[in-house]
Amino acid sequence: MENYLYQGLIGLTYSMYLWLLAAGLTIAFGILNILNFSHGSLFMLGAYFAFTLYGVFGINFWLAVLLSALGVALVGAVMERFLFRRIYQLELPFQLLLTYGLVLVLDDIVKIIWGGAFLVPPIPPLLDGAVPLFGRPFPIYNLFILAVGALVGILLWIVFDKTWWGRMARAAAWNREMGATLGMNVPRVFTFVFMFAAALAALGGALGIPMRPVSPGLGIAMIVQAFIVTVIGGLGNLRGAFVGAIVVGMLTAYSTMLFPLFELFLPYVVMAAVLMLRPQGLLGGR
Amino acid sequence: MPIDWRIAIPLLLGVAALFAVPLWFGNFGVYLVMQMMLLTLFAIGFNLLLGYTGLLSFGQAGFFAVGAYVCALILQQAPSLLLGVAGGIVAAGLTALVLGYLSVKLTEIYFSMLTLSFGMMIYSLVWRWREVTGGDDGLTDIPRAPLTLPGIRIDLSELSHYYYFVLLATLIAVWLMHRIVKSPLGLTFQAIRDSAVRAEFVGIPIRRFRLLAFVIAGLYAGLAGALLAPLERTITPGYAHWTASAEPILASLIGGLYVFAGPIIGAVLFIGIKEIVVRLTDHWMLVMGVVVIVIVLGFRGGVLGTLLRWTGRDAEGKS
Amino acid sequence: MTALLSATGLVKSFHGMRAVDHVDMEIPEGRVTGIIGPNGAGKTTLVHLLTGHLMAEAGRIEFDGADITALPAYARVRRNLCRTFQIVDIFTRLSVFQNVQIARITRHGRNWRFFMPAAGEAAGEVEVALKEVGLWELRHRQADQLSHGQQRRLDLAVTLATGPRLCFLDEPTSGVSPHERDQMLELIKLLAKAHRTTFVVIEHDMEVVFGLCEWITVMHRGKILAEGKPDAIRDNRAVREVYLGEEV
Repeated sequence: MENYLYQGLIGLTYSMYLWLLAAGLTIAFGILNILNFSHGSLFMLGAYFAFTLYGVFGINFWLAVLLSALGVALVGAVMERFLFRRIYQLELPFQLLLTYGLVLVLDDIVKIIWGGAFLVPPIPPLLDGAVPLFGRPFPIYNLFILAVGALVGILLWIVFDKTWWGRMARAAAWNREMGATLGMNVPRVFTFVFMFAAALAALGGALGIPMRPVSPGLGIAMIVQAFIVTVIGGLGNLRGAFVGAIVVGMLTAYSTMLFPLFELFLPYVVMAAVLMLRPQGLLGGR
Repeated sequence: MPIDWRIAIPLLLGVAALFAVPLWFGNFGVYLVMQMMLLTLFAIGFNLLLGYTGLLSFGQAGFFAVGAYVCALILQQAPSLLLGVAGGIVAAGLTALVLGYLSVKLTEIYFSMLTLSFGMMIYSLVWRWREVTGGDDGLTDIPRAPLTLPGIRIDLSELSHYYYFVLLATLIAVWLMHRIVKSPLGLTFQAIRDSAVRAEFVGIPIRRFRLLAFVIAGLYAGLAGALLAPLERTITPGYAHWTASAEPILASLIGGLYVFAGPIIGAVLFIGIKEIVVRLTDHWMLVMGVVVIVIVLGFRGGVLGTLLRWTGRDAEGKS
Repeated sequence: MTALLSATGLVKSFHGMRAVDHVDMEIPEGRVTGIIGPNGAGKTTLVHLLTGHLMAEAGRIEFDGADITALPAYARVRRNLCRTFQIVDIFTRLSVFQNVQIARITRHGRNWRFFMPAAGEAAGEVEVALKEVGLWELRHRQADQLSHGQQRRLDLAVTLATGPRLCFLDEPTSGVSPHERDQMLELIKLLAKAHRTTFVVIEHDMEVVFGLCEWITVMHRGKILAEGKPDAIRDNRAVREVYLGEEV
């Protein structure tokens, strides 16, 4: 029994990374209406930035994480301003392909700067401990990640449901012309939204560096996970993304423990089942 | 019908040149041209789905892999090339029939996501079903079996011999696809692409035709995969991964989605650029990514579509 | 006259709102019917139900003596029941010729032919159809290169090429110039005779309706408010009240 509970916590920790990743993807899709293949690459970029600042230059870990998110947000601003803005009107295949082109570009840029090797930084000393939970030591760092995930969830809920800024962004998504007639600078709102989404991805990537090695394949590996999560919860649905992240995290944790042969397979089965039975996602309202 | 010599002459010269490739080039050139032909098969099948029927699949690598693995498994048991290739095609087609039946109920991004998940299921299956597929080691020592017909037995273990087999298969398959695209069936697909609702209101049962397009695309992916197995003689799960599904997409985009020859030119350019770039630098993905971005932003007709527009010949109706 | 199409008790709701609320309707062969009503009256939804674009929650539809309630749209088209949409819907990347041709190919059930070129299929029939609507000269043009008025006419030609006995036209003149509108009206009258097609026209433009229709059905809030000959409808008090403030 304790084993199961412990494994549940491991799964929940993974869920929180997925949540940070999927939240940004969902926001970008919900408001800009573009499914961004390169979102995983932004996650990866966040990890590399944090690795460099913390692992190479020895900057304080928390500051490094924060700066990474900011840095990737700037990369996102450039992407939105010079690329995405030109494709909002295009047909779906062209939109997807542009973002896929970015995956290729970012992957190689990362290789040029950091090389192709796996990089592992030290765990920040402050959190380099464990507490006994369910009869086994549970890393404090994981507890911290759980807290961050919950915090980001609350923050997003406040931003998008309670603030003027969030309502404005959602209004702009609902109807671009109407947003413009209401006096908002829709292009600028979209740039900010995308920067925000990029920062969330980078936050997930940066916080993940003590847990997993950083390597160029990270973006491609993560984006498919993000797709699974957002499809299960409902494309463009933030609460759905949270639920989807928990479903996938748990599924991964328990299938690794119980039937490792199907650990890769199962998330896709769930994703396909949701699409076939309820394409709007578990929490989609349409 | 009158023959358009401006198309016929270059076409004949091109085919003649393809037959001469093993005479002019060494094994490496032969190998490279075969890669182009396999990607051509993969891409024209894919583009029947996207360029002609309007469905963007991200799972085509799954069918490619089914073709490759089934062909490889047959060849390891029974050394007959035709049997292996036919088995690969049939298996891919059946897989496409089942998964397509489930997929064509959806459209747009939902269709893309569902095909992505199906493709990745095949990938996971190939990766984990070690006893049959060899897991991440893949299948090795696939024999380049002889071509056996009643009374005839042609040895294909020589790369240049196998080349002619692939060339013939490619020419037949491309010719057949051209017939399909120009036929009433092809017109039906294009009508569905332009407006599914309107197509239904001229009396077309759109799901059945989408499924048919999906199965044909699966058959072509299976053929390409089946021909790959004896060429490479080793196949690994990577061929089923979604990033492999992107290759026919990129080839079609580069050449032009709305011209029949687009994916063919695209496949040649894709393999050609890759070969050149890889020799000069390690950063082939960077170059490819920039090419894709430039095409999407400025030249959505692809190389061929843009050329046709510049020369004043519209991309539609002719090719 | 026996009814070509008859519907009884049709219901359709969106988000709990009854867009079509127990509607009965009979359309006899050979009479041009107009369906009018203010915005949101349920006219278009009713046509969606009758043509199979949407499925009714309750009710029954009979066409040409057969129950078609459960048939999908394409099967109704095959039984000679067709329609156009409010917004022009044509095959944008196909040529004008191919637009009509695909309708003829489908009519003949030749969609599955995959080996012979389509180019010559039904060429004679396509020529006749395009000459009727005055687009034969433009047959090689890609459909999205036509003017809006031309696209309207092509839309009509494609619809008629499916060979309908009953054809719904959803605002056939919306978005065209007054001159083109008059042309369109003449064309519809002409085609109704030539093809022996029964037309049902949904319209906003009262001039169009009174100029074209022999019978008018007025819808309001999902129900049928009144029906009768144009003169009777013009004088009907309930109808005038509903339209008060709207252009009559």
